[in-house]
This record gives sequence, structure tokens and C-alpha cells, in this order.
Amino acid sequence: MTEVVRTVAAKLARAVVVILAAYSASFFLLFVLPGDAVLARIGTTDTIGSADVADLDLELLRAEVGLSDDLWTQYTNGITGLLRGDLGHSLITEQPVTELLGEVLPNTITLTALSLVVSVPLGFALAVLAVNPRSRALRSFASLLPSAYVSLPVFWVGILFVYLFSITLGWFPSNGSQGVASLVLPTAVLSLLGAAQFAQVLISGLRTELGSTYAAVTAPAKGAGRFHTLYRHCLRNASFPFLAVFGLRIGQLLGGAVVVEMVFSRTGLGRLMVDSVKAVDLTVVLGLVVVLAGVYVVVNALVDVGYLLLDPRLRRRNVEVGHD
Amino acid sequence: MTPLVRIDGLTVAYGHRAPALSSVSLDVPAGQVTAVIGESGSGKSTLAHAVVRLLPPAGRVLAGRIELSGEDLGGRGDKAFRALRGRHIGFVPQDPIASLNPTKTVGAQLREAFALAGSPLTAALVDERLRADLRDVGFADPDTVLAAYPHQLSGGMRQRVLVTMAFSQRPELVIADEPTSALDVLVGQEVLRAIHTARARHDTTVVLITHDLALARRNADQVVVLDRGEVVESGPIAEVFADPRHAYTRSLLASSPRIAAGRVRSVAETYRRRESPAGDAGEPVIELTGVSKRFGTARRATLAVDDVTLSVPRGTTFALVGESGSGKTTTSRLVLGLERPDRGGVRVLGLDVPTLRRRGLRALRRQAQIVYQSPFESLNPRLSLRGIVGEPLEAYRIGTRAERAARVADLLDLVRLPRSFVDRKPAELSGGQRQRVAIARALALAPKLLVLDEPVSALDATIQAAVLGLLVELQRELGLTYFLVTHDLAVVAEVADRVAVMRAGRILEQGPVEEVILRPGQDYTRALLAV
Repeated sequence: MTEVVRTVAAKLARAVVVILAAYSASFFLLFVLPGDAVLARIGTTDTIGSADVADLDLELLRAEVGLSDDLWTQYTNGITGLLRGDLGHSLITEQPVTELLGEVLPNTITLTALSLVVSVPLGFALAVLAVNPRSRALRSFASLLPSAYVSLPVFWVGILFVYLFSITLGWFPSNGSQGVASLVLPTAVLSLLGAAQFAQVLISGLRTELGSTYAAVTAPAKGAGRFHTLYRHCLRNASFPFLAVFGLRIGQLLGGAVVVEMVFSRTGLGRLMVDSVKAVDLTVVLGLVVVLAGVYVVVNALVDVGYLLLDPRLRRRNVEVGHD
Repeated sequence: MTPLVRIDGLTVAYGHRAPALSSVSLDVPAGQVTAVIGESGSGKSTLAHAVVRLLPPAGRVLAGRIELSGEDLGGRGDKAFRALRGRHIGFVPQDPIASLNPTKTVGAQLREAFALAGSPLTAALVDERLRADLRDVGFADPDTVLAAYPHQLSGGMRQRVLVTMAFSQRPELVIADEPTSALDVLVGQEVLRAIHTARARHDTTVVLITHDLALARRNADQVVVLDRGEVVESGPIAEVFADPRHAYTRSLLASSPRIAAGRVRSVAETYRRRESPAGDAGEPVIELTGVSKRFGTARRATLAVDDVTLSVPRGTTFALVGESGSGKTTTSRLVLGLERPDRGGVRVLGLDVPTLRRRGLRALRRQAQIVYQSPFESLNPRLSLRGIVGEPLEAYRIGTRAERAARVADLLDLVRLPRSFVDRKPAELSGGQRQRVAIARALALAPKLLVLDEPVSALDATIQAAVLGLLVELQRELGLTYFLVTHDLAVVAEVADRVAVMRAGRILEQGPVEEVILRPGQDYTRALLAV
């Protein structure tokens, strides 16, 4: 029992460190960006229109939102706010950041979760197709697909889908966040990306497992066919490398989600991120960073649990079975 | 009596290379054990895999037929052939560690054999039969084994599980492909006992693939000798071993002292006749006193070397014999200062090794060199022999370029390689020639001590003899001291003066080689000798 408590405590401590580190790194990186939220709010982030703002008291405006404090004070204020669960107010709209996030998160979570639900089985199916069929041509084709798809830019695929399925065929709406129909195309684009990424890892894992003695000799020597060996023996063992990269690929999937949201003009994390980075809306960007770091931490914790469930060698209770 | 298996003119090739098996014909009599023996590359494993049609992807059967109980198996499609596996032909693979699925319980993997064979038994009856079978192969507590995952079992236990699996559907034929070569000798004997028990109980015909002649002689009724893909001799084992007709069989038998027990005695004779080495001329070259070394964390430490004391006089050969994991390699690393002992003293060539720092170790390595096991991995494939053999001279900045070239030529002479080889790369040499290069490199700095780490175990028996002969001659010419690490008592009988038998970090017994080999005091030594 104490073992479990210690493990959980260590995991939580690490989560806090990861989130704080992500927050700090982003804070200082954003600080060195040119322009600030006050300029952005007036309508310019560069020096082109600087003549028009000459008669405004920029310093006063900056003081209002706390930008004229020195760097260290801003940082400590931010950190203490974060520890209290308060992410501050948008420098642009003055809405609380938590409220802004609350508005967009459900949309993005629905999109990503739906894409995951579709892409994991799709990735597995594609991987099986790339190793199982007797036909060498079919196997080569199936193992080529994922690499081909991941090398296409997401926004390009998105535009292609809009052109094909909305404009030409008129099956699904091309933009918006309302209704189930508006989810279809973004989900399709994103889950194909996920499936392709997962399939790449799974294919190499399956090839390794199929070549190992237990699958290449022992199982067939019992009379197992190729599919039986693949399905009953190799699939689980091939998913360990898959799990290992899953935590990392989630990040790419979220990145894909941002692009997809832009292409399909959906409200969501992606829009908010692009808008607030453009506007140098420090508090909102930092809020987003905290959310994303949190997602990473949670996903990686789930990956660890997944390992424990799938691989008996990692479980603690090691019963020693006698000795020779 | 019609044979259970008849193989006629079987030719198998990998890709476009020369056939691994060319026109092999043999009969496997029903109810007997037939051993297929040969060295690595003789095609014996290819034969085993061809019979169960589990050749690696590049393998193709080009010609010939395989009959089982009179039926030509070539007539079966893949699906029909699959019905034979498990039910009519069982297979025990070579490597027990990789041969079980790591994420399924042993029970699940054993039960699977019944499901795949379409066994009519109920789950309860299957388990009952598995428990009985597991008891037969020496498991006292079958239920724990059924619930265990493979990683919870030792290599020998896993191999006995695989034996149980192969026999579980009561096939007429079981093929065992080097079933013990990855195991400790004593553990290997347990596995063979398991095969014998199962075979006797179910009246199974067994084909035993092995490179180990002693094992073949003790376990088989019939023998088939394979050399470079061809059957050179076959017949009842007693006849073939008593009167080998083919030169290859004779050389195989001659290079195995475990078989030619009389030859061990003759080796011992030559020792007695050989003038006794100048044993007590001053300080021993190597002196270990009460040396211990443990690895791992404080909680889960393994004692790799446990209170080892030994001493090696100048100009003699000391052999440390044991199997993988016995601690013999760690001991040799302690001698070379590559590891520091936790306890005990290590004196080599008058130097107190554990206290040596960089310069001291450099001085030690100038006088104490090592020859590694694998001549394939220990030589840089991009360098010519000039670069390989001359490298130690360069590292110690000895001589001018011309002097070094002359020294390399001398060294090639010394190991009986033509001087014209100096521009060749390792890939252009045979295994035996490469090991000669490794020896030349070790001799470049004119060391006093050579640590020989399994110097010939990667080589075939006939080449082993030549390399060992070279080592013996070099010792006489140069007055070298050898510290030989090996698992092979055949090698020991050939070259050693004194021998120590090591197991689980401890020295079980040590003494003059003829005493230990002719009058082994320990069961373990007797098992290693297996005479």
C-alpha cells in the first residue's frame, strides 16, 4: 500500500514540476517576442502604425494590465496565481482566462477524443493489413500508405476534403462548430493523421514480433496459422513501442487539431491559441500552455498504467517459481 | 520395418546462395531416437525446419520428397500441412528464452496447443493432463508453473515447458533442434531426461539435432552425420562411433575428448612426459587471494565472483572452466584491471592491480594482453591487417614506421600467416585466420601474459585444433603465461597445465589438469566431462 502511495506521490510531484517548467519557459520566451498586448489591442503589433499611437499614454495602459511591473514581479504574480488555480484575465478582452478556456475546450476535446477513438482501431487495422496478407504487393501497398499520408500537410488535406466533400459533393458542411455534421470532416482529417502515425509504429513492432522465435517457430509448430499467431500472440507485444510513442504522438495530434480547427473555422483551442499568440495575449497563451502541459502529464500517466496492464514483466508481484 | 520419416534427395537453398542441403536422403526408424550431428553450417537445423516446413522466409525446398508414415508431405497444401503440426509432428526449438510469448502465461500457451489441435477434451481435463505431463518432466508443482509467466521461470524450466508442449498432442514424431545448447550442462541433462521420459511414455519417435557428440552418443539409437549440407555417414550409433568410415566423422570424433576418453588419458600422458614447467621460478604471474566481486544494487546484488583464490606460475597455462554466468569472465576482467574487486588481493606481474591508476594500468596492459572469443567482432572490419596488428605499437608509440612494418611482418610469421596478407581486410579471412590475427595483435607489444577468453569456441572443431596448436607452440617459443577462460574441457585438455572449475562465482575444485579430468572430485565436473 505504501508502495502505491509513494508511486502516486512521485507522479504528482513530477506533474507539478512539468507544468511549472512549461509555464516558466513559455513566460520568458513570450517576453522576448516583439510587441505587447497593449499595442495589439490598439490594433498594431509592429511599428508601422506607431505614429497613430503617439498621442496615447501607452505606459498608463500597460500599468492597467500589470505589464509595467518588472519581469520578476510579473513572473511571481503569475506563478502564485497559477498555484491558486487563477490564470488571470485576458489582456485583450479582460475575460477570465479560465472562462475563455472553458468555452473552447469542450469543442477541441470532442474533436480529439473522437479522432482517437477512430484512429486507434484504424491504425491497428492498417498495420495488420501491412503484415498479414499473403500477397506481397498488398502488404507493400498497405505499409506505404501511412508514410505517404503523414508526409502530406494537414491543412492541405483539410482543404482537399472541403473541396471534395463540401463544395463538390455537398455532403457535409465545410465550416462551423454546430451540430454533428460539422464534426465529420475535421474528425476524418485528424483521425487519418492519427491512424497513419500509429500504423507506422505498429507495423515495425509487428514485423519484429513476427520474426521472433515464439511467433515464427513455436506458435506455428503448435499448428497455429498466420493470422492466429498475429492476433493472439504478436498484437499485444507489438503495442509496447506503440504505447511508448503514444504519449508523444498525442502532442502531434493536438497540433493537427489546431490546424484542422483553423481550416474548418471551428471554435476551439486552436483558434484561441493562434489569436492570442498573434495578439501577444500573455495570460491566455500561458493558460493554454498549462492546459497542454496538463494533457501531456495525464496522457503519459495513462501510458504508464497501460504498460502495467499489458506487460506482466513489469508487475511487482514476482512469484519465484522454485529453482533448478 | 518401414521408417516413420523417409527423406529422399532433399535440396534446400537460401536465396540464390549455394544449397544449405544438397540431395539429403535418410530414414528415421519409428520408435527410436535419431541424432543428426554436424558442425555449424552443416545444414542440420535447416533439415529440422524443412521437415516441419518452418524454414526462414528466404529458404526454399528445391528438390526432394519428405514422407511421414508413407505419405508424401509435398502433396499437402499449407493448410493441410498445418493440421500435421502439433498433432503429428511436435517441435522443440533451440532457444527457450525467445521461444515463449513473454506476455502470456505458460498455462495459456500450453492450453493453446489443445485448442489449435481441436482437442475434444474439456478445459478441466486439459488442465489435468497438463499437470500430469508437467510432473513427468520434473515439475513438482505444476499449478504454479501453469500460472507463471515465462520470465518467472529459468531457462531449463522453460525448455521443459516447451518439451511438454511438443509432446502434448501425442504426436508420432518430435523434432528437437539443439534443445540444450543454450543451457547449463546440468540443466541440459534435465531437459534430455524430460524428453526421454515423455518419449518412453508415449512411444514417440524423436529426431535430435545436435552438434554435441557426447550428447548424441548417450541419447540416440541412430545417427546421421551431416557435413556442408550432405549426409556423409549414417547408421546405428554404436557402429558409427566405433568404426567411423568417413574422414569427417573421424575428425569430429577426434576433436572431442569427451568422446575419445582414451585420448584424454593420452593427453595426460604427454603432460607427464613434458618437462615440468619452471613453476616455482620466482613470484607467480597472477595471484588472486580471496577475491570477491558483486554487481547490482545493494538490495539485489549478485555475487559474480565469490572468494576466489588462485595462482598462476610463469610460463604455464591456467584454465578457468565454467559456463556462462559462472563468473569466469568477471575473474579475467579482474586480472586485467578492467574491474576492481570488492574484497581480496589481485597481483599480476608484480603489480597490485586494484590500486593502479591510469599510468599503472597502461603499464600493466603492455605486459598483459587479451584474445577475445569472437574473431568476427574483435577486429575492425575497415582496417587492413597492417593497421590491426600494428595498432598497439602505434598506441604505445613504439618504433618508426619502417620498424613497425617490420614488426607486423614478423608477427604474421609468428602466427603462421603469409606476409602477403598484410593488406587484406578481416572479411577476406576465414574464422581461424582471423583468430590468428587477433593473436598476432595481442603479441605485438611482446607481453608476458595472455588472457585467452574462449579463444576457439567460435570456431569449428577441426580449426580449433590448429589454433590451439599454434598457442601451445607460441608459449614454448616465447615463454608466455596463459590465463585461459573457457566452457570447454576439450580445450583445457589440449593446452592447460592447471585447471579450476568454477560455478556460480565459486571455484569448486582446482588442480593439475590430468588430476581434475581423470579423477573429477565434483559431480559438476563429471557432468562437464560427461565421460
